[in-house]
Amino acid sequence: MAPQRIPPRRLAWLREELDGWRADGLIDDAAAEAIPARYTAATRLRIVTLLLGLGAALLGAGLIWLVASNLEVEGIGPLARFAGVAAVWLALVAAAEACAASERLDPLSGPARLLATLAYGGAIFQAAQSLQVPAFDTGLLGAWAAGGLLYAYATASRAPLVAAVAIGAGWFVAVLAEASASGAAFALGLALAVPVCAAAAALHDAGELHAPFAGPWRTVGALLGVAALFVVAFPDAASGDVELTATAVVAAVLAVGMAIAAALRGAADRRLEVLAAVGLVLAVVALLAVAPEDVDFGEDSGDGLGYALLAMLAFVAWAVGIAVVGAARDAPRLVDVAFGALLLFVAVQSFGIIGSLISGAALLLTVGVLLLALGFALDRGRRRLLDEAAGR
Amino acid sequence: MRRRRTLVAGAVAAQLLLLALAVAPQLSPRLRGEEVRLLVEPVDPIDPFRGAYVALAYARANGGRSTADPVEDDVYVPLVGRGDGPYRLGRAQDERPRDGRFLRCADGGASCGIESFFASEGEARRLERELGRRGGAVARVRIDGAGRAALVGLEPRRPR
Repeated sequence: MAPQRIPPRRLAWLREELDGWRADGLIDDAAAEAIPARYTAATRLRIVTLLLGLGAALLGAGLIWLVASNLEVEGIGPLARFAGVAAVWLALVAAAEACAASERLDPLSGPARLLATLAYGGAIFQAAQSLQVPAFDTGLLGAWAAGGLLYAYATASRAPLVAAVAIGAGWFVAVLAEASASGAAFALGLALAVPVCAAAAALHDAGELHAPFAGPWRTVGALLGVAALFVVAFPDAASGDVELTATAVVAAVLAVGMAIAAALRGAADRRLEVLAAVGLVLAVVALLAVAPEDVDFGEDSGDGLGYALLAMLAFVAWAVGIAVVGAARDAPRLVDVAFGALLLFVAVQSFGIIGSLISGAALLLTVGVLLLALGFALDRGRRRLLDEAAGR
Repeated sequence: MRRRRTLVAGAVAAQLLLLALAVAPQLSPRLRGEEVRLLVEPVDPIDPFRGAYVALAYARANGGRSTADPVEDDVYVPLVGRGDGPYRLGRAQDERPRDGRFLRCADGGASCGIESFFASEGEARRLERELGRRGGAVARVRIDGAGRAALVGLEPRRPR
């Protein structure tokens, strides 16, 4: 088995620990030699990873832009164009596999696979271009996301998964917006996707599927939950009836099924996250059920104000929950999501409910104090969680 | 290593299948359909992923508004005209016509898969200008036996 590449500091720590264990008689000399031989020190600067990923993302975006620009080239017809873009995509797939097979080029395999995923989108859009598929056909995004997911799982590579999950989320939101007859139906659709994502993350963490894939699913679930509660917090946007269509029933059954699967087979310490995701759906349903029809915060509107405060509480609870999970799992991206969500929410609501209660300089002072208090509370919460985790 | 290569090859094959499925509604009429000419009026927007296109509004016979259920997915739009056209779109209906040429459309007849003609940005602008000057255009459309349509080309409307 080829030695696993780990950061030099971690290898140095391991050697120190092994020396200590050998001195204490916990392991013999042979084990103390054999264990570090399974690892090799490999320095991979964060900036290099960032540059490689960014370069691949820009190249992929450039390729799609090239397809979109539909350049006129003498003698090159629609079929030849598709063949050209498809050849680029397949060549990138082959190049990524060649990189993964070579120890020297292995760091390039992730960016190459990301590029191959984006080039696959280019091939889909070129095919659509060549066949004059109508504009804004969401099926193209769906095919891109599904193909990207298949490729990510086949290669067990995180970079294409991140791209595919992001494209899939974009497709889901576009389809939901198209199919939803009301803002309420849109918000509920967003909420129903949250247990599905949380359950997928829990199943990955349990080792049922590739464990490092849990992160992107957890992050997209957190973001969809933020979006659902963001919409619900505006009674005007969340108004309207929710029709019980076949799609809505399928989505609800899928959400329940995934949640049950995660409860039965998911990682034990992740079940609380799945439960929180189900709780979010129930909170959204409850808020939609009590949402007032017409709201004007400027007038005497006790119902509207009460509803807005309830919705705000639900939003803040969800965002703080994300931050807590991010801190506990040492996932700084989730903490960033929570901070970003709270900041955006408070900024937007400054012109909504907060703006209806306070105005002028008092508004700015209140929002400033609110943000400072939130930042302080989140930081305290994060430290406490990390201390508890360290003392466990 | 061999297992991963097999998995990647399988994933690529599935990706190709997904790609074909995504464009299938246009593929069938292109391969098996017959060509007809339809009267259109163009405008010029942009799709973020696919660039410039000419959005086409099809001329309707009898000032034709749909009589079909507007949320029904599959409705049928008969083509009205004589000989080799150009044709206009008739009223959308829920039942498939027993004879004559027709399109199978979604959104109560508003979406028949032939509403966008993609071209380079310069070409799209030129088409828009030129076709606007001539008071419309004729779209060359291929239609298969099930009424699925694919846009093949766009040409200026010839004066009568």
